[in-house]
Amino acid sequence: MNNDISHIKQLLEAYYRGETSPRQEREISAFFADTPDVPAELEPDRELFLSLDEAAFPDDIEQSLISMIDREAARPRLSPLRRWVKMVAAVAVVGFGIGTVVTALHYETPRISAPHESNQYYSHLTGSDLSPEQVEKQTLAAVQLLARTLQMGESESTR
Amino acid sequence: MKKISLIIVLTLISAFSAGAVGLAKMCSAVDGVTAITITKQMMGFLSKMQSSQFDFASLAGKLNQVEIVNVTDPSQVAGIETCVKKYLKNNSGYEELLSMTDDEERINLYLNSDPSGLNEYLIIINESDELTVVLLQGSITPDEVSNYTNIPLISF
Repeated sequence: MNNDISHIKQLLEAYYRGETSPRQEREISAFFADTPDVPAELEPDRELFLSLDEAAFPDDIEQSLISMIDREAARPRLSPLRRWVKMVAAVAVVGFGIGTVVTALHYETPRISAPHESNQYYSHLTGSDLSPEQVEKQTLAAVQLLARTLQMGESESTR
Repeated sequence: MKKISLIIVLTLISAFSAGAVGLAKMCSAVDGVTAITITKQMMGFLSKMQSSQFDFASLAGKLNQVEIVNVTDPSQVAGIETCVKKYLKNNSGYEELLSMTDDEERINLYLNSDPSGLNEYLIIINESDELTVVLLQGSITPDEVSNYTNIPLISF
């Protein structure tokens, strides 16, 4: 463990100097993902790398988004508002791995956990885990989809 | 008389049970579907968390449940359509607010308003090869919903 910490510290120093390779950056990410209890001095680094991981799209989801954008680009007669509604619809499901998992959230026995463990307990999915931030994003996407759809209805009715 | 009362009670229980099954749960049996349920309890957790972008607590307080169903396998779109029709049949009171049809897609918006002030919105975005259904339930009114048109959404 001490050797691991020492090695990660060296990699982090190289990372902040901009001298790490993609393989080394993946090594740092994997270390923080697999090691919830790190020395306090590494906690900010851990939070940084976990948030970077969360922001990344898996390849299949990125490909789905690119395909969707291509399809929309080929259909110029869609109104901007309507195109927007479709984009938000995609966002509402994109975090969950399109077409790959059947998911449900259950919070019948909530647990209060240490901050570094919170992501583990706030969300549970069959085959995947979601952070509270991701669930919040899906909720906002759903609400905004409704708002935009209502707006679209109003603009159509006044034509 | 007892027998009639029993039949009425059983019928009411049966009708209640059918309506109580969530859309996402109903449709999750279809192959290849992504079915999400965000419960009121989860809303409660989220509303206690600090959001850097947006006052989520006030919105979460008006929502009881959010459900999202998506299928991208064209061969399964019909299965989800059937599931949604069954849900609409089991839950009477839905009014269609919007129906827009293009040559390849259809958008429908339904609203089910309960006298107690509970609203259930159902959005169906149906393309030939993909179907997305979003259900929102809560006390939020259409006027209030319009306030959320420009909320900061995603910072991927």
